[in-house]
Amino acid sequence: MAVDISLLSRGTRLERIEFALDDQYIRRYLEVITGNAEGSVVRRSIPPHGIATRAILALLNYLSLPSGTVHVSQSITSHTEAMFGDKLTMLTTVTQTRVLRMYMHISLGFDIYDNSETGRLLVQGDTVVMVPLEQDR
Amino acid sequence: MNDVPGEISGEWQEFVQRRVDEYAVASGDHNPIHIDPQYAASTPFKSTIVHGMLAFGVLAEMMAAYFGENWVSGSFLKMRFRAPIYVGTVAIPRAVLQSDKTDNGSRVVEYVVTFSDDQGNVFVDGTARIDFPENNL
Repeated sequence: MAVDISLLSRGTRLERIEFALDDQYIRRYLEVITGNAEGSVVRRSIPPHGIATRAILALLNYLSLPSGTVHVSQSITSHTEAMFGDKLTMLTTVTQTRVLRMYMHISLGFDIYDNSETGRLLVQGDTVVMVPLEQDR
Repeated sequence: MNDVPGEISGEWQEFVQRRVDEYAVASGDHNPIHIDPQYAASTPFKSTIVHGMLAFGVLAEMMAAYFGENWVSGSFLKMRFRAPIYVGTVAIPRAVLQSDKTDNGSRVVEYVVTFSDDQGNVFVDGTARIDFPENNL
């Protein structure tokens, strides 16, 4: 079910999102990023941008943002590593919304934890996207 | 780790449609603004554009390759997607040292990061920070 983005406002907490860092996904991602098939072979752990990219995909799928949505900015703070196969949880809060030139700019802050007993904080991030307003979702 | 370079340059990246398509598959982001020229022609961009997170990943990978474990366990990266990177663009990621300080026993280095073409057009800019723990100065 798509989220009604017109209802999002500063402080809105999105539902927790759980996802896994499956081996195939991460290796394919690293191959495209590095431009070669060997880029992912020797990895012991998953780099923070790999974790963030997987998380942002889960987030965008959850929000069901329309075609034409564009990424404006991205930040990530990395605290510790994650391993292939880890299961993670993402907690997201809307930090700002504003309408500018037929686009709605949505700022989202997120924390990504692993699902182990210790629940380590792995990566924090801020994502800003601009969503076209006049389009069927 | 104490070898902090004044500048880090990655390799020139050619963002051809095939690579963008591969990234769409790898990341799961199938937004047609990136992969469907006909759709993109109907948007203000008029042509397909590179995923912001692809550029983000390439630049982050450059930093991760240089700083290794310090990047994974204590870094910050913020990037603003200032201008669309159109498919077909050839651009290079760079990081230029901005500051190198010691704070409460930890070394903190900060870089200005960019993604630009050979005409000097800057598509992406931002900041990268790496924290080196006290025992790893």
